[in-house]
Amino acid sequence: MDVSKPFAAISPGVDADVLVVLAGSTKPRSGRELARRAGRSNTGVQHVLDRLVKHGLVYREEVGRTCIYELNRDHLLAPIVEQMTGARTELIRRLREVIGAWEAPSVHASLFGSAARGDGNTSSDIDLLIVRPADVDPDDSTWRDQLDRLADSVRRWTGNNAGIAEVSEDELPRLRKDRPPVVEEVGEDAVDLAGEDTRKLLRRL
Amino acid sequence: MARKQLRTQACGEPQARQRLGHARSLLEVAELAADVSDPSLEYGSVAASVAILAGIAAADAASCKELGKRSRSKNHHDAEALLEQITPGGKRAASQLRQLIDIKDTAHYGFIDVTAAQLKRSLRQARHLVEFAEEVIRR
Repeated sequence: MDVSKPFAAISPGVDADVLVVLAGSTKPRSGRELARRAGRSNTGVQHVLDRLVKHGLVYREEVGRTCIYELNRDHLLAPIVEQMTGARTELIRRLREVIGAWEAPSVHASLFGSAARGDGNTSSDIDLLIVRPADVDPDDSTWRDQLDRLADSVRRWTGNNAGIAEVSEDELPRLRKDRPPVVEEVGEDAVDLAGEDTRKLLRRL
Repeated sequence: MARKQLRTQACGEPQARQRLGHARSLLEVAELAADVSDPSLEYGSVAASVAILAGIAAADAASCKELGKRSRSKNHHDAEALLEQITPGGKRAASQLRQLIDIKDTAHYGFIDVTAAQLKRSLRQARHLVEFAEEVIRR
């Protein structure tokens, strides 16, 4: 799945792009504005809007010489639209739930890279930074089972592979000293999932 | 059933034996590089990268023999999904391959320098994968 455009998994066409824009805001917008935001042609977007209005999923209101459009959030299908556009949020919620319930907790866990920035594609790994406590052996069976189950869950939820950057707590002083570019990237984009938050972790770095 | 459409190539026992041969040779080279790297670890990441190639070749060998296909994806993680389908032992082998690939990627990102301990772990995982492929081919 493309986490930045989860809708595309079900409908790769103009319809999906228009619905994503409509679901992303409660502000009514003109067809031209929706086309610009969706990155689609005015004509293509207008056809989609006409159809969605017929189905009642989108409200149309005439304002002077133009029409403005808004998602009808009371429509029976509206929750499905909102759920699909919110798939990235749901991924983060599930990751927090799973990692937060670990028997052997991590010092820190975050989502970074394209899934965190929202600019990946269907072949992008879901990148996770997991900091293992210094007193946990990397081959500890409880620890390994947790990571295996996490990787498996990510693949089942998204169809993408998990890329798990597993770092021991002992490595943190070296990262603080060397500050490789990835540390800045994580500081910019990471979404905290469990344990110490990224900013605190980076201050320690 | 594979959980996603994987890019695969059909293969059988002859290819399985050939890939197992590659896996053994690569593991040997990785172990030699690991020896050279001690104690400066200048060749540490090279040895770890070759260990991953050994692991992937071993995964191909086991998949060819047992499933009649191997991964052709550019994403090495996709080979795990095939390994998982081999019973018994596939799940453990897939976990070992995942660890190997993640160590390489984590080093590539710059999160870790390949330390002696990580190199040892990579070599151990690669060795387990080669042993797993040998066992699958003997079946």
